[in-house]
Amino acid sequence: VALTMTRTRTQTTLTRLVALLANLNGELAFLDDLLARNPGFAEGLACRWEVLIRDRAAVQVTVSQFDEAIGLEQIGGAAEWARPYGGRRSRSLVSRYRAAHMHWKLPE
Amino acid sequence: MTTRMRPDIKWLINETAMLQGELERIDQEMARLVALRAAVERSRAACQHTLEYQAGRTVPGLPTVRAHRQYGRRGDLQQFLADTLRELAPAQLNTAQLAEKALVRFNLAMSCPAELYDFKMNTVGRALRRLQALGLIERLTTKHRVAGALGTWRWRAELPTLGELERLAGAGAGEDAGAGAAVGGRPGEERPWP
Repeated sequence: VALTMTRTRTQTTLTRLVALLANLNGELAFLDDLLARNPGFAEGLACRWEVLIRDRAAVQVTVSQFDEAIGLEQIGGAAEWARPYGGRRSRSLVSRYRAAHMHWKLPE
Repeated sequence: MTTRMRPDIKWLINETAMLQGELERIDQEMARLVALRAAVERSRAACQHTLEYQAGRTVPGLPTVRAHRQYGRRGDLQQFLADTLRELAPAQLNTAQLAEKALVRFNLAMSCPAELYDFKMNTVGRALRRLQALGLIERLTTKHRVAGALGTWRWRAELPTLGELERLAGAGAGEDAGAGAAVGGRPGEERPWP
């Protein structure tokens, strides 16, 4: 990659960063809802929740670094994140999601 | 009866107090830089995290780029200097005054006199010389102008030269002779004054 001194910002970069943030928002909303309805999952999915919170905080700072005038609170949730689990409306979403993340541990 | 303080004692008191003031100034600046460094480090860590998230792998050992200072978009400093001189025309401003305005406009803080000097002479000076090369502003010849001195600048007015004035006067006189009664204007044209 040729690094430049001009810090050129493009619309594509912004779109991708905002889409990333929207997906993290979407997944966190799903997880919060899942944990609210199934308190028993809390222990198993705690690590995933922590990872999402950390990722979202980092992406929020990144978007602000791109343009500090962007209102982060105006970025809602997206459902693209659910595609690997069969989609947001899939009946098996919860079981696939749990299978992927239950008792998952942070890498050392 | 007044007692006269020994000059060496007076100098030492004064010098110690001055150095104390200098230390205070350095401490304030260091506190500002420590806070700024923490904020920049937070942003760097966040961007690195997002980069690795998006790339799907760790990206170690990125090189360092000493990027342009933040004046908004590229060319904003030059645009600001041109706008300032145009709005204040025909007033003349020197490089230091323009640098001062730029510091306020872009909310910049210089950490030491050397940095301020570089900003004036290199950053602002170069932008002004570029505007001069484009023919938008002109550097004035003042009696204080010596090698290395700060320049004095002015928006370049669209004024006719003496030669052009002479030609205009000549053309006007020729038309007047042909126009007869229509003095001071083109033939058939109304006089612009009562």
